Amino acid sequence: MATFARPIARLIEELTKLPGIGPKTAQRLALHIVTLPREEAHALAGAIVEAREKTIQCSVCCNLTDVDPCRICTHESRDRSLLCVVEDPKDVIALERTREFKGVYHVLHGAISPMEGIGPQDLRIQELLQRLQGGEVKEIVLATDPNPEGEATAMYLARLIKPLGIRVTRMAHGMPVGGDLEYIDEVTLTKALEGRREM
Amino acid sequence: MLLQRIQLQHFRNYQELSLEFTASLNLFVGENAQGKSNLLEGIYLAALGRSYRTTNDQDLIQWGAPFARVRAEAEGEAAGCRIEILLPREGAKEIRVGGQPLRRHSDLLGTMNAVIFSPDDLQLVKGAPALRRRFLDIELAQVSPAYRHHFARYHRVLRQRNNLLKAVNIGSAGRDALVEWDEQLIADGSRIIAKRARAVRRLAGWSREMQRRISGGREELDLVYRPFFARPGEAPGSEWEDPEAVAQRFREALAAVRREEVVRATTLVGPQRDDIAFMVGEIDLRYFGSQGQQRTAVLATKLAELEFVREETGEYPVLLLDDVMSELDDERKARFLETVTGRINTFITTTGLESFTREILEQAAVYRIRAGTVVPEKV
Repeated sequence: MATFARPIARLIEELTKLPGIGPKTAQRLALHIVTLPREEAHALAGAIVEAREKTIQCSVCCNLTDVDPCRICTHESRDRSLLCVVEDPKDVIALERTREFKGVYHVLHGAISPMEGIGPQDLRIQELLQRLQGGEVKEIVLATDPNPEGEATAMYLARLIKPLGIRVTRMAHGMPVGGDLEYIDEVTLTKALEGRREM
Repeated sequence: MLLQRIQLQHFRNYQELSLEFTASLNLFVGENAQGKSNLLEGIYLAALGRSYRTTNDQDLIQWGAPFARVRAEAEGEAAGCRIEILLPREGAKEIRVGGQPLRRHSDLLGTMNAVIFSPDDLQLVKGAPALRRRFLDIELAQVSPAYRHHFARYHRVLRQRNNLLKAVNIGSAGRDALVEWDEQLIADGSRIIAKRARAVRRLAGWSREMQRRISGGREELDLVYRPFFARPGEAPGSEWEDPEAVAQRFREALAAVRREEVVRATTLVGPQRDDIAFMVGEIDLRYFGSQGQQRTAVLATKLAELEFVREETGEYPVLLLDDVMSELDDERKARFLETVTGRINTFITTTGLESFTREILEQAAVYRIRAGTVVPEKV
């Protein structure tokens, strides 16, 4: 049986290790890469190496950054009394896109998941508690995902933080703005109904 | 619901089939292994997104073909629907409704409801509790999106919690780590139980009436929901339909088994331990019913299921009877057909027409099935 030349096979093997990339996709990507103009291939390799070398975790909020502390943590107009806890760096990006949240963040890098052997000690919770000792934070918004793992993480944090006398809030579930009532799925609607508020 | 058209492509032993239905009652007649059940299975797949005969979708693709496709069109009271299921040999299953691909396959449920009755269902009364829970779950999943949500969530929480219990058991996690999972187990589990309690109460009412009809008034059937926390002899109460009250019972039960759960490293209470009892008077049919009584009870329950779906959705589901007529004696068969004919869109597989009365046959459309081909037949 014919096989790929050794360097291509090695590339396929490395690509397969990436999340969301199966053997077929890896094969397609590898064959594409080896036929790229030489400089483009170098640019890709260079970008990977540079991103890896220059990315660090912010020593304050644990978000990924190239300067420490990160730009959000050092920004002068940010409200340091309001702290939003998220699972991943991409959640920070999503919240930043709103341009509405003026507080600061803390990135846990995951959620509690016994199935994957992830416990509280595997998340950036010690770092969070240390931050809270400064006394500057008045409110924590728990913005972990609304799935069982995210809920468990939020409940765990609430249990930990509430005794410190800091206000703990949870992101609301609700209806998408601009959505017609009739097109919203029943579960979202039920959740929105449960979380209704006085007018 | 009226199923108007079914198309099968590379499905089981069907190369290419397109059938239009005009009658409410449809009979698929043929020798064994010609494809009668496969046709029914195709209809079921369009309704539920999966087979009732296999858990492996690959089994459904015709031998040597790169994919199988099933299309169905149905007309409902309020609106029609167009469903397409694509099963590729490689890659993921694709489900479309009205041409739009569904992101979550479970969103198909409720589009076209179907109830299957096959010889396997005769185990419903005397078989393991898991069969009875499955029966309830499929029913509720079809009529309630909220049930699907809590059910999927509950099972995820359950898996997480069982993993955590193993970790606590070997000392790699502390007991207090269970708190967050207990809360979620109780929250989703209580909603499942409340919905089941209500469903069984409704089913019990209908099945009692159906049992009377089928047994000629000789027997009073009672379906009794047995949630995991029910004490022996405890009668179902309206508080079982209240998630808050159920949560209280759940919490107590969980506290009582805490120590044992850690030792056995698994969750010991919850709706995964529920059951339903089929009672006639003081007699539990599972253990003490005659085969005849058990069959009548299954029949009555299946008929009750049709009424339940109608009550919840406003429409009768499509009824699929897979080779079940041969399992029933003439009297039961006649009563059953009387009950469904003319009201419910029904598809029946059978090896012969002898056992159907002239009256029934006059209303039916008959299709002769031979080696993956289907020919309409004049009776």
